[in-house]
Amino acid sequence: MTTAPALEARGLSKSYRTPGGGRLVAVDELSFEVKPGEIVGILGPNGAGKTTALQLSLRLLHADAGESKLFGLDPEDLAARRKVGYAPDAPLFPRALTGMQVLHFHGDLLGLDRARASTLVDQLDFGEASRRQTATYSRGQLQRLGLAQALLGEPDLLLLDEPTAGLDPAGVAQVRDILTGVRARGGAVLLNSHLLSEVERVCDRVLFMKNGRCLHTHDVRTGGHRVEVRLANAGQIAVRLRERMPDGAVDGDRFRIPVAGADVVPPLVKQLVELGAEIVEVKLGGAELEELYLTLVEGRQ
Amino acid sequence: MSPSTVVAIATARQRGLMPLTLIVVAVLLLLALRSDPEAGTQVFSGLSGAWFVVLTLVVGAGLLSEEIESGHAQLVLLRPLTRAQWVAGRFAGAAAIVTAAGAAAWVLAFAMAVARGEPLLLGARLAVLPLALVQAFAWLSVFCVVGAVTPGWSNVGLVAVAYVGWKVLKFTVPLALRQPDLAPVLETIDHYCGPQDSMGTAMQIARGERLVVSPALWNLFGMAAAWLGTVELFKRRELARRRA
Repeated sequence: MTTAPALEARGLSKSYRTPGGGRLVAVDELSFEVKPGEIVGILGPNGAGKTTALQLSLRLLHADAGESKLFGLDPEDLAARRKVGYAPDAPLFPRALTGMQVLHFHGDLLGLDRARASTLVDQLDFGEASRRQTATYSRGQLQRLGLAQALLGEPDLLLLDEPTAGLDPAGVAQVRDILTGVRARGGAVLLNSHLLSEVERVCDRVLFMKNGRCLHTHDVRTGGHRVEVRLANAGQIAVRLRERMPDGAVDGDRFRIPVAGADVVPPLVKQLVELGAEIVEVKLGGAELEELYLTLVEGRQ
Repeated sequence: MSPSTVVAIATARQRGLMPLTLIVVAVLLLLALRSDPEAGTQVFSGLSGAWFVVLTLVVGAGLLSEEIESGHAQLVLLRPLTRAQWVAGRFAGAAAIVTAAGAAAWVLAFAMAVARGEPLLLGARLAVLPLALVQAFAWLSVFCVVGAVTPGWSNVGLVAVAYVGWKVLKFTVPLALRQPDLAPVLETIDHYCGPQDSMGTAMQIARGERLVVSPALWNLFGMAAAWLGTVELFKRRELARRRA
């Protein structure tokens, strides 16, 4: 028996009327899926259609064409909704309610014990703020409350739109832990973020979007890693490196080469030393996400 | 607790604690204290009645759109509740505020009548509260159905403009066209245009006259029709804030 994807989008399209009478295509025949136990990131410039893609997936916007399914069900099916958590970009809440009252309200809708809200508040270091009206919240505090309400029902599918915007470094690290925690218990995450480094660290797959279209899907885990070596004598040994390691590239004082995994780094370093390289620094990074982004989205070579 | 009840409680708390609502309720209660031989039945007529309508306007303004435009509705409607349940909960929350304020005004007026030794008119007194509430709920339903497709507080603005416009037309058209025969026709149409004043029934009880309950029944029918209309219109509304 095959398990239905947590989220499946097929041919989603959405356009808006513009004030001049034209039409702006926000999302154009977008298809993707997020499987249980997987974190998928969406990368793209402002206006690429990332947020619209999330909203169409959840049927918060009506698609002009295409459809989405949550756990094989219609997005408006109550059984599917019970399994979903969504934290929008810049969330807003009733200004007269405290953060805790907001969480109790959402918890009551999910039929949860009120202790769950208190646990989450502690987990997100949100104790003091949760007793204040949301009208007094900073951007970061609203973001934390948005995350808390999304996590309230321990969702099997979590959709986060720029979850780290406005958060301090500790908050960013907490979000990372939360995402990996959701994946560890078999949950699925769709993450919309501008931060390449964060996406690279936590995501299994990345969708590159531009002008409403998915340009490329990159598998971070099987896409390999990249070693970047800073050399004191890069100019002197550049020709030798190109001859002996044609997969690599010399760029200034750096030599970059794709590798299968971390275990090949020591033999690679040994080989470089044998070629006469004077190594200053060695860095093992994820796949060439930044380069892919620049090539695919920005059109740079 | 059902999802509608959860939404209703949150709505009542949210809108009931708005400063404007609190001021309007306070004035309503003050008006209920005034001396009037028929205070029991007039608590929802005349100036008090007009003020009760103001309370309905304040509570019904932006009842649906406020949550949609703030972006909170999209989070709520991703919970396991239907749009119809959410609309019912928002309506019930607003109705609870109107009921609580109306009941408090009624009790105050009754207590003052007893204190002043005024005639109790028990039948009329007991009838006036439900009659007033049905009328208020009918107006709330109209605000809901218009608010399902309009932004911000424009739902009450549009209804107020339409109401005043119709009343002006009703009196001016027969005069302008020099067709006095049109007046009774327009008067008949008026009985089917929006919620009707059902307070007359309470006065009929007080005076021992023949009862005309059709305005109250029309209000009940209007409530049901408006609720269905609200749900159907609201299903078509997109919940996310557009960023394009």
